[in-house]
Amino acid sequence: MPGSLAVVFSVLFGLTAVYYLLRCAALWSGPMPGQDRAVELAHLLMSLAMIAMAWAWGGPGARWLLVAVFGLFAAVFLARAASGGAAVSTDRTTRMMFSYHAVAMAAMTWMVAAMPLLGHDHFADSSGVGHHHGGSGDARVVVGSVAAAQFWAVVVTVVFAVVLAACAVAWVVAAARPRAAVVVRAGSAMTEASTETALTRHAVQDHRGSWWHALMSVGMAGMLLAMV
Amino acid sequence: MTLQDTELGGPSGTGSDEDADPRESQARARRGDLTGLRPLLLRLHFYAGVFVGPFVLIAAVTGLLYTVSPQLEHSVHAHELTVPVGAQRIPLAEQVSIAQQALPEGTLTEVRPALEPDSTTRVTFDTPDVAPDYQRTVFVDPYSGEIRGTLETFGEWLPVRAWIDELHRTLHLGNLGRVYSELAASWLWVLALSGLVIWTVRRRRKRRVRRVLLPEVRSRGRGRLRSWHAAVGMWALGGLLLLSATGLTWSQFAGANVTQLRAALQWSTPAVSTELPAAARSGGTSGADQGDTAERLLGIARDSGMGGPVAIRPPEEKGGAWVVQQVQRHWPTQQDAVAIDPASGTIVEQIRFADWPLAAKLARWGVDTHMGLLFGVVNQIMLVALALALICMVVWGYRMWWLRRPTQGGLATTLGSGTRPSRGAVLTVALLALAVGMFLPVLGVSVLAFLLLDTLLLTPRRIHRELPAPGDTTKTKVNDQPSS
Repeated sequence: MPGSLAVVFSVLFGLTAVYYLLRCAALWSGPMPGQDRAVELAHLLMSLAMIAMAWAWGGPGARWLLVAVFGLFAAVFLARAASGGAAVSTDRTTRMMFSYHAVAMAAMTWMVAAMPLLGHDHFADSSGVGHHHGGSGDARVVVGSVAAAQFWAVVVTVVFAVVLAACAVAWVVAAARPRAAVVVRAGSAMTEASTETALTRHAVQDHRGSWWHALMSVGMAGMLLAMV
Repeated sequence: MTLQDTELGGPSGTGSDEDADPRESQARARRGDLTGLRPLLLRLHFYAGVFVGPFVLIAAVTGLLYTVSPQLEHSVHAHELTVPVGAQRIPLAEQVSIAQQALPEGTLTEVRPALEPDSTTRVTFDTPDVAPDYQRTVFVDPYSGEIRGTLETFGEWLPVRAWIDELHRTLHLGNLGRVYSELAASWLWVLALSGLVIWTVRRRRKRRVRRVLLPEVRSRGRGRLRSWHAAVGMWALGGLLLLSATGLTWSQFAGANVTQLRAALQWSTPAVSTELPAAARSGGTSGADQGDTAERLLGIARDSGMGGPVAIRPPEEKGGAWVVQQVQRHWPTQQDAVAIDPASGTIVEQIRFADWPLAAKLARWGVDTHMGLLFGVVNQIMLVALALALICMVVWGYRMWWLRRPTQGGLATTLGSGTRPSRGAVLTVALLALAVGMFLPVLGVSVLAFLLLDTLLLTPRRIHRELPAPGDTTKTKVNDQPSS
């Protein structure tokens, strides 16, 4: 992959990083109903990790750190999906939401862990490489093939990419739904007036967030495909 | 009672940050400015204190031991370091030759001629039978030529000080152990500065300066402990920042970044080059000639005005220049260096300490202060006081945490979790943590760990507590929260 694609990924995940940083700040300064800090934090960390991976930043310990962090998130989201979510609702949407995040985190964990299997092992020997701005593009994760990719690893990677691409389509469909319908549906969930207002506000926010979920999914699918 | 008083328990020290007025904190959160920084700093100080405290404590205890290592070294290795004062010294060349005969398999790396009347000459060699970064030093009586001993040395440290040094830096656990000291050094400045802000921004109507700088001896319980913890921290602040900054320069991960930064800003310690012009290169000096060369070049360096204790170093590769460098690390620092062509005796390069960049001088002084070398015994006493202060502050911190625990049992809640930081404060701290975390990787990783702990463990509990269940109209706290 040419360096220009690394720039594209950096811009894409730079945008998502800024968005989710703002979301995290909003959540930490006062929780919104139904919002989960873990979800927003996971998105922020994923965005930053993607930029780092695109430019091969990170020392030898970075891979295992990322595998541990995203593996932990995957396990937490899986547990929440199984239990119907830790927040207000136990409906199907909540389960689907946590299931999606568990899959995304698993894909992220796989992406980091499977690099050597796919012929990219920049974490093993690239400490500080990314700081040499004048260097060639060889340091980038997608260029520096050091070994032949294993077939089964390629298959798993492609499967993750396809699943994420499908998720992206689903998010776009969700985001394209008329906003009024979303608001009415959310508002009818509660009878207490002021809570209804807060939930309505949250529903609009969530509606907007669908576009960002779609963007993240597309970016991740792109990164996975760029590795094979 | 003000919010700040309430958060820290007020003058009586009986309250809790959990008691804070939620309406005030929510209003602050909406404002989006930095007025909500304090609860965030409280939380940061709490997490760092609880989780990094043990590492800081170990660093302080081993550092305390390190402060007395010069005296310990002189006591344990008195035989190697000192000699009876004689009438006439033998030539340096002869002393070096005697040492070389004692270690024929070694490669000469440094000669430190005896300076004091009762001190020995140190002749250091690279030998294959020592640990990495260690060398073997032969101590020669400059009067009789008697070998007083041969020791495994780490730089200029003799075994006892090298052992304590290793304990302080790595706990004798190798590179893995270096992470402990890096963790302590990475967080020490954060703890010190966050503590400073937390303690000084409290609103006090009376005797503000006194109550910031002196412990509240009339208070009881947690309030009294906190005032001691904070007042001692205020007095130790400058020293703690110095220890943290200089400690980071030796660290494994951050140290590499510090070195890169210093090089980029041209703050690196200047060093003379041992490269000689092609025309001036000779075949180098043989082992037998090295003593003569060392003595001759020492004379040239002395003639050029280089006084005090010096180290004479042959080039690492044949055909290069020898270096004679001052090695006085106590005040006034003497670190002049000259590179001399061994064949012609010409000084090819000279660097005076006075000409070092200010940042390089400050780094030298900072490191030597950290090691207790710059101001001798006064420096050592200062470090002892700092180490004791750190030990007390960590112990007081844990004691305060214990006193905050719920009376029904269990652990205390996170300090600062009862009030909401403003959005601007969260953003500021997040961006700072990101930038600093990239420069100080161990700090960055530990911040991430705190964040995960806070998010994955505390959030679900809080959501259950704060958000209304479907159909539950009794919990309306959520309505007052701002939306994004």
